Amino acid sequence: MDYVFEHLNNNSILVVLIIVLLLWSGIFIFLMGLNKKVKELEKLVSKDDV
Amino acid sequence: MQKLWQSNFKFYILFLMISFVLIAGIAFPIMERPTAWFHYPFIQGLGENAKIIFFHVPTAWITVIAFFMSMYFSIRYLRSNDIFYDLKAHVSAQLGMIFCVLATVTGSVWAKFAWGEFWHWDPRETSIFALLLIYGALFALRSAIESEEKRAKLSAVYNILSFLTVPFFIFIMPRIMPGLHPGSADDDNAGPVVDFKMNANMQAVFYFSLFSFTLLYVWIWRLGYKVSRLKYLLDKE
Repeated sequence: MDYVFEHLNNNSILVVLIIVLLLWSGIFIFLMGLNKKVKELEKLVSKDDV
Repeated sequence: MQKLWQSNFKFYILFLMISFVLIAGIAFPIMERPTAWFHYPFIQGLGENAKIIFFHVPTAWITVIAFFMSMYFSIRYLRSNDIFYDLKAHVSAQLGMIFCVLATVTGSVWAKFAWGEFWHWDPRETSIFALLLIYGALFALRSAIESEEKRAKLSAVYNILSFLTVPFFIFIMPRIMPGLHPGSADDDNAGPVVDFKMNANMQAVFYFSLFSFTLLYVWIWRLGYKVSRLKYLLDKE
């Protein structure tokens, strides 16, 4: 257990980096999903206009 | 080429750009004598805290751009009475507010490690707090008015008046008053950081970060506007 804590302590910058990259990936996936939904809705609205 | 641009390809490029900024901003080491391309120089008075510049400055930069664009669309609304300009201005003000909070939080974290406390009422901190209050009042104003046209008109006027304070609070006041923030009137330690203390590698990552965050703002703004526009059109039906 001590080894794990020591390892995390020595590599804290990498732990922070992994957390930040995961957060950014989550935000990106959310935005891509929203982008897809908006495109579909725009198609529906433009069809209704026609 | 046009087909490639119209696909999601550009978003994946932006994902890689921001990922690179995150990796370079967090993991690249600061050295007394930089020898490799990925080494940053040690800046007297900033030390390891200097890395915050890759995230704090771009968020403050986007705040100014977003509030400027919000003012621009408010002027366009007053000239044309087109409600979609009001939606554009509103989405940009929302994004400006989000990035302003991010700039405040990143600055506050930096202050904890550089000055010992999260908040000091330094001129820079006070000015960004005043800015948050001014733009917070814009959203309170919008939510208090039910008539669509009246809301759009009043918030456009308020938005234009609000932006007049932005250059003063962001660029002028913190520079003419003595304070702790780099670049203040009595600063003889760390500032100006960008021009003289960074090496070419650090400057390249810094400007790349500014560019990437600007593209991220443009993407989120377009997406936010499309959502607001669709919501408006569906509500009208």
